[in-house]
Amino acid sequence: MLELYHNINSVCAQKVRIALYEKNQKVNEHMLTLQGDQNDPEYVKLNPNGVVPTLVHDGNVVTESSLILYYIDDAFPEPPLMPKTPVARHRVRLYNKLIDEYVHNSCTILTFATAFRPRFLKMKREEWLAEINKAPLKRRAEYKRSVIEHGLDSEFVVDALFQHLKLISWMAADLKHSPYLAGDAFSNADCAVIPYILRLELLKLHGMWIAEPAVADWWLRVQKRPSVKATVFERMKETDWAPFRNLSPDPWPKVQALLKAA
Amino acid sequence: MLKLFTAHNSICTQKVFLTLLEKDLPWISEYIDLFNNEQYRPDYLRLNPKGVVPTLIHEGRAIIESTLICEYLDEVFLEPSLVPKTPYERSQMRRWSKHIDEGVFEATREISFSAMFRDKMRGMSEEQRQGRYRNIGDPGRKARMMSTYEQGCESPFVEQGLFAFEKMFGEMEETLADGRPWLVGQDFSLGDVSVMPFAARLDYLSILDVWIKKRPYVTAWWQRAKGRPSYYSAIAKLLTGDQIQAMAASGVRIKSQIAAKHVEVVNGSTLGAVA
Repeated sequence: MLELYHNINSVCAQKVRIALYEKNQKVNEHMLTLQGDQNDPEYVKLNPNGVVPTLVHDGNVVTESSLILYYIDDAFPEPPLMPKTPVARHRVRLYNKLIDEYVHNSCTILTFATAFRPRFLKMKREEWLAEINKAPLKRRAEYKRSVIEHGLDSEFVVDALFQHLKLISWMAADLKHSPYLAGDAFSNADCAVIPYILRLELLKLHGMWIAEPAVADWWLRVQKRPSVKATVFERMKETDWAPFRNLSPDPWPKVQALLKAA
Repeated sequence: MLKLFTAHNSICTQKVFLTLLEKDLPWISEYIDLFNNEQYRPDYLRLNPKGVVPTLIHEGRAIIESTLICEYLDEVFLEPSLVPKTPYERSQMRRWSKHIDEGVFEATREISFSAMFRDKMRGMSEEQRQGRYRNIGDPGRKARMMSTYEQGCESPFVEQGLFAFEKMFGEMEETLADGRPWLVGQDFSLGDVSVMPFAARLDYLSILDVWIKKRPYVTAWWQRAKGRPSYYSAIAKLLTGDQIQAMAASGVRIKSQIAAKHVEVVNGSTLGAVA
């Protein structure tokens, strides 16, 4: 029995939903709003960091999306989402590590600086500070405070953009000699990267890979995969699109200016 | 032959040494002098774009990131295996390396820095110091180094580091409380390998007991870990008497500050909250 605690727009949950679909696994879903319910004591018992996703498989609780991806491949070997050779497997793990240590926080920074900022700006400062200080991961509160206050002018934004550009440059290098990020077959590396590229696109920042046709081509191909259509695009309701509609101001001119000045 | 780029007293390389020794694999080491900026030499940056140690060279390819080097070695050289068999145990093993890679590693760097390297940086000219900051590409890492240089143990990054250690040792105590000898069960694994060099650093700084004195299961685990032959060869044997003395002496200087802050952390203070 598989149980998944998740949220439609969460990038980390998207990775895991794509992988489960690729493995033909059906799950019982528990949806979180992430507007406070991630810190409910019952949920924090399952996931001490108060983040999604959490996978429960026959009573075993697995947290951390990259570890869930490896778990799914270990528990359900067919079709494989890890390449055969140790070198290619290492490449998959490097992508996950880059994302876990840099890109994920950077994605939070860019999203809170733009799409998620209006929700906080409608609240009193003490209210939103209390909400972000509740998160068990202290470091992330500092980023969130800065971008809620300063938007794209926050001191953290330029580095967050560069971390995404680094990811894009890795993709461009790998896609030069293979159709997918870690070789000839779709793998956990692709599952892990897709949600971050999608997020840049939702934030109208697709200009960041305009000079990399191989990345643009990969993005077109992976969007057509049944797993991505079924678990990401077809799951997004109007309320999930809402934060990304009518981003005002359009982030792209500002981002272009920041990158030019850096 | 496996070749490993390393530096003296590099914690991350110690993980790889432990793995090589546990798997009985021979290797040759090449030392990079971090205080002479050799890690930023263009030929080294081609192998390791972040300019950090270790880097493993196997069959002409550079394999980077110590956690991933250990997993790579276990996949290339199967026996004796340091990775558990079941999917769930494997995910638990990786939880420990994640603790290290996403909290404890930085925590150790900040605490070591405020204890030891801060004095070394004080001996540099302003120009040398600025040069060191400039070489660090990662702005987060640069900010942490500047903050610990200026504020020592009062740096908020050191406070966050205390949290990271507290969280890890707390989870270790809970996990080991079922009587298992090693972090993932009956067998020694890469989970133990990930944590050992970090516990060793705190031990050499003479501040480990701040976290483990009231945790009998972690204390017993640490005695078992230190008793493994690989621990002696990978960590203890490679340190000179001077290095050991320097770590102990600088640790003593920050111990009371660290212990006081640790009490605040345990009592649920708001250290690290943003305002």
